[in-house]
Amino acid sequence: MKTTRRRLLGYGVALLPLTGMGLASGEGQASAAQVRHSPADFLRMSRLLIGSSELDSALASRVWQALMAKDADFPTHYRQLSDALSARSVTSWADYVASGLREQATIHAIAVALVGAWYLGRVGPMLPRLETGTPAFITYEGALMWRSTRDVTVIPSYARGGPGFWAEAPLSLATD
Amino acid sequence: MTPMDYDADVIVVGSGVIGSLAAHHLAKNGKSVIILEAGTRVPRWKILDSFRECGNVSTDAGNRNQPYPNEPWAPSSFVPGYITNHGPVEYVPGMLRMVGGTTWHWGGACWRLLPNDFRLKTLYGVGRDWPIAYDDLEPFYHQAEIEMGVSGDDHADYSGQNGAPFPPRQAPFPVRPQALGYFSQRFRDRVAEGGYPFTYQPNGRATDPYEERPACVGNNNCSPICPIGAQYSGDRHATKAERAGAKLITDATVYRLEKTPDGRRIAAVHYYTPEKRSIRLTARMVLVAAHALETPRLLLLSDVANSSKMVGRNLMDHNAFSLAMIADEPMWSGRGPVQQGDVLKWRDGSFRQKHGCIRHEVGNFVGNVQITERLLSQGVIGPELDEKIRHMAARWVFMDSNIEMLPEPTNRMTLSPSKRDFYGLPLMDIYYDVNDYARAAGEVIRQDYAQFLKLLGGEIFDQNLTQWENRDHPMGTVIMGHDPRDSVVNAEGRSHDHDNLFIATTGIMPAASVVNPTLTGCALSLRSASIMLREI
Repeated sequence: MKTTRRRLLGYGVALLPLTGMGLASGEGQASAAQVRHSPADFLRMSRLLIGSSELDSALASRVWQALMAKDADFPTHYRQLSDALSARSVTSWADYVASGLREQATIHAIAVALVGAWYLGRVGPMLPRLETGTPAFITYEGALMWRSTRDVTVIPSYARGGPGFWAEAPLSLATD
Repeated sequence: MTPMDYDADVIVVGSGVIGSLAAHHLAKNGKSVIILEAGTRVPRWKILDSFRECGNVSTDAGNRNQPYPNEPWAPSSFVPGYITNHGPVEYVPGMLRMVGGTTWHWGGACWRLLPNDFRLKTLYGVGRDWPIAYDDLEPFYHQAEIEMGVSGDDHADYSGQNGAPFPPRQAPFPVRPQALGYFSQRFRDRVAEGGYPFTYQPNGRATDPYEERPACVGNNNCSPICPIGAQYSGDRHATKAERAGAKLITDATVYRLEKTPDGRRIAAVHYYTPEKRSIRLTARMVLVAAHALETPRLLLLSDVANSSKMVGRNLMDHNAFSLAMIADEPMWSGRGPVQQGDVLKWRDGSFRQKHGCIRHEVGNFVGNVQITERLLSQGVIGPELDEKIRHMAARWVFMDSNIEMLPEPTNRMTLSPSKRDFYGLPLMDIYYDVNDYARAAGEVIRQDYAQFLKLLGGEIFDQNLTQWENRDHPMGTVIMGHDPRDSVVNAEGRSHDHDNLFIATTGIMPAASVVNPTLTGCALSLRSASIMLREI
């Protein structure tokens, strides 16, 4: 196949998700070390904003790299977010809600970009007619968007049950 | 020329399902067959890996061509410049060029037309009649269904009137229906209250193991790739044709059909290799089965079969609208295959004098991708995100509609005056519009969507009632008819101009109906193959 992950990651910054959410692009340029390694508090921050400790730590650097691939200024944005949380002593999701940062569009957009990468398993929108400038890929089956429905539906392309299992009503129906 | 002077009895151009079915039938019956395929060959597992690693496509969104090969000499249809649009409605269908063709990424729908679809002009005063009747094609529908292992409901009235089983068939479907999912059951029951019938969609998925295909277990990824091969794809018959003795040559881009000096026959087929070497092959007969757009392109490049000036014209699809909603009860779309049924209320009737017929296809997708994107765009994160994804995914309903279009010479594909392919050959320009006959059906869809929202207690997630989404069902471009002055092939699928040239693609269909055209293209191809068999 001609399209490899390496090639996809190399497509640069044609699409800047943060820009679309009202953030001005900063001036910082990512250093080689920044590209390779996520900040020491990246996983902790991710857990805080997702409100869950169940994150695959092995994915953290891939999430960071994908965010960087689509926005070279992401380290600067990330520092803004990190500083804002520190300044308000935010250490949990409840703290974040109470801090009022959720209502601060610039800061919240950074948080959403970070969480979005974990949930979608990619950074950047899918492009129905293009094969260049496409999303920075992180993971398919590891994307968090599947986890809240995994007891009922499949991660598409994977199986659960045998032929015809779908005729039965899902067990969770009464509480859904 | 003696019989020994030919390279093959038949050269088939294109290894998609339509060409491969014919090639298999001819080879199985002792004819020497060469299949020329512009693209390459890739096994299913590699496509599956590519799907899971590309990040630009999901079961219900993104670029469905992306997990597939895209060679410089055989680009897929979304490569910029491959098709240039000049008309008011953009038309670029998803299309693959590789062994097996575009049925690698289809939804598997395998419809027969209705008898009335063949008599549109006579019955309703619009469009064109076919030069053949349903009864002429029925034996070949039957044959195609067996070859492809089509699953269908023997009790269904596919005219959508909740009547007796229809259309007539000589034998039951070769494969029993899959179980209707809980989602489909609930959808069926809810819309029935509004008088909308829901019928099981005939499809190429194996309910039980069929030949070399395992039973479908509901991976919900029929397109862009069925991971286990339970769903039929054209590579099956490309391989079966090879086993029957056909020679399949990949990376062979046919660029010219050479006429005999008197112009009445095709003397040879010329193709390029990726090294740009030109090779000439001869055959008693040639079957061009190279897709509804690449086929007329080849004919135009060759100045062949076009005494009517109809090559490339009369392009039709089933352009229409779509609706995604969040229903008022958990129905759990996404368990089972990605589509199970349709609302055929407007399948046929005297209304076709005024507007095209309509088919609402009901999706059964896992909706998580679109739902998550929407919630993120609204700034939803934290624990609430999981809760909302689940709530909405449980209630996700997606449907897209299809509208019958009429053949109009102005809707056409032509050779680009400026854009060239890998070999320096002209690429395609397309002028496409949706006429008043189809637009009038769009108004009916608008009313139906309002009803569906009401019947399902739905909240609109996305409703498109303005953009004419195409359905990747190109037809009409090498149109079939009795009159050589206004059609490209005759009732046999044979060129009016060249005795030994047959054309098999959905492009020969002179009326679009409103159902996925693949099975009809397959039946037409098998019918032409049976005629060729008699003459060789």
